Amino acid sequence: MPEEQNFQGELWTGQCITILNKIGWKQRGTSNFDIPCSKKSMHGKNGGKRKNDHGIDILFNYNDPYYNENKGIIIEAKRRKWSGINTSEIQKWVKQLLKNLECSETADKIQKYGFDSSNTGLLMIWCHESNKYDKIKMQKYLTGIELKNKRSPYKIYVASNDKILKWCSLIQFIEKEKQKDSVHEFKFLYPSDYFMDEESSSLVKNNTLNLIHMFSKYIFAKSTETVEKFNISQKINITHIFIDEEPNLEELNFMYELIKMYQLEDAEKIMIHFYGEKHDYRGYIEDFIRRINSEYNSLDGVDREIFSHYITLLSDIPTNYSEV
Amino acid sequence: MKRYPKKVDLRKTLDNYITSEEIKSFYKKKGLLIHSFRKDDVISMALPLFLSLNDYNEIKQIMDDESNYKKSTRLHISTENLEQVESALKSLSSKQQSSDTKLRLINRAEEQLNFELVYVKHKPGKVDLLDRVERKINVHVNKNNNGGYNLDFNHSIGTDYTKIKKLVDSIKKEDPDLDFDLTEILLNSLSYKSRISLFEKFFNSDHNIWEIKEIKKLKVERDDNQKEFNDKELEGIKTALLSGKHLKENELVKKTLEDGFYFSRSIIRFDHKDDAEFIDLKLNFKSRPEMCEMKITNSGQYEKDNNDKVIEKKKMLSPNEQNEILNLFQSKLYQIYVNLKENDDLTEINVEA
Repeated sequence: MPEEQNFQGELWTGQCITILNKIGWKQRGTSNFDIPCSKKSMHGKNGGKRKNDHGIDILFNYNDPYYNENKGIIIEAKRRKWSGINTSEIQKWVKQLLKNLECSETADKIQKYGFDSSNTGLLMIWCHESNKYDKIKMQKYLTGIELKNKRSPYKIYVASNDKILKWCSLIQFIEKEKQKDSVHEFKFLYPSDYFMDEESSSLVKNNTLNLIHMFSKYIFAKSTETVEKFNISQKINITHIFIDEEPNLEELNFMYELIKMYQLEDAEKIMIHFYGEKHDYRGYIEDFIRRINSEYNSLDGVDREIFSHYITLLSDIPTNYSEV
Repeated sequence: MKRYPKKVDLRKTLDNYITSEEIKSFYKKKGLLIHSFRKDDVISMALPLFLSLNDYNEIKQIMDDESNYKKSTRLHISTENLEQVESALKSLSSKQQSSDTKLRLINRAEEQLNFELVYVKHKPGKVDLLDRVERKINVHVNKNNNGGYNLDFNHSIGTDYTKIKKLVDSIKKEDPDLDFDLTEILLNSLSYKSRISLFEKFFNSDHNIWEIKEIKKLKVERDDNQKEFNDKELEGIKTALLSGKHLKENELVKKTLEDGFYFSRSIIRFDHKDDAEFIDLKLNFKSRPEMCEMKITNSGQYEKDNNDKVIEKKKMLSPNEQNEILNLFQSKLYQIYVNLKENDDLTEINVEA
């Protein structure tokens, strides 16, 4: 059994690598490598000194447009049955990842890449009993996690089935779009806001999806497409907004305020993507789309239309993701 | 919320109105675990995430803001027949669809009923001549120990209360067979003696998991005159209470009452019997409209700082937690009120002392 478990664990590590590669992240080094412990007296068990090195599952990096930084991210991949996931288990993994992050600051194997920062970890938890996975319970488990008051700050993002499957569904949608002959470009979009580096004050288009948007309620993207209009083919710009929230009317109006505020309307077509069928919200969504389109129609010289689209929500990690 | 907030406003909100621990705990649920000592760092790490309306509403609930503490009032109806009340409500709600006031039944379970009253209040506007403000009041109807039902609701302005009172009248009118008395805790319906006893007995009651730590404020009133006891006077009153003496025997209280004053408002610090939690409860008898209002004005936890000194750390309670606590105190006060009223010497009511 442990061998089978190891194999499944390795398989999950491979799947994590595929997912992150597909959103533009770059793996650094091999998976499963060790770094020496530089805080032996703090990282030992039961008050004793630590003897072992720290095991890193995967190391990735990407350029974050919001910070104008080359970020190194340490990933910990865990695959468990539902009963093996609870607050105390997650706490253990978080602790382990936090120690990895602390020692990464002095580890040659990580520092050699010259990241601008490496204080961020990503814990990817996959429950392979997907019918038992409970999103609300998972949230409760996370609420119970104790956080350390560190002098130099660290952040650890935790993703499980719900988030991970949404990322995979998004990847599948974008891949299909990119395969179309009419689609020329499909990139993630980073609007500006003045909390960030002042130099990166304009809209940035990028092949990379950053952690901020992976854990936000909205992901933005831009594409260009050739369409036939009055027998003339012309290139149009499309803004995509992927929303991960229950889309009642107030929520949709609020999203529209966001679109206006970040000036995402500068396109001929605006696509609002929902994860799954959202049957309960179809009425609200249709009302909303109708209202915005009639607003656009009433504006002189504006050739713009808004659409809704329902992304097929995957129920499992695609099988070809295991090929690393 | 109508506009999507700018990050700079979110930063100010997190910085000024929410503690570091509350920020971390909010973002934990989003899958972001922030391990940091400094609030600045916590905010910088949390801030970039793009939040939805749902998230922002949650943030507003956590904010240490006066408006997040709920005012609660309880009315009592003497009927035992909830079905009849329910059908009267249904019939009223079908009639009111076109007006500015709408009534909606939310759910009905055994011995309880929830409904919602939405009405439009107009007030002078800055841009338009009149601003339309939609007010929503949730009313919870629960069986009480006196053979009737409690109507509990939170309100923030006087018209909320008046609207609910009017609605209760309409329920009665809607069904001629439905006959009940509406009661609420009103000081004016008690003799002067009993008005003092109401406060005294409330201070001396067993409040379940809560115990009185301190009377922080006590206000007396006579006609339109109001006066508040100062700290020294309060200390004397507190000592009298704790030593088991009757409040009325305290010289200061005695003198005040002889002048025709009675208690009308108090802020009481309650400590949790087992945990380090505390709340400040404001018990307020208002005169226009006449009503009894309860509100938690402050809540938090006792902690020890680096010098082992006990400090108070504020912690906002969720609306549900607040209502749960307020219901407990409402029930206690009502029980005292009913007992006092039954044994009251009615000839003393409204007679100037």
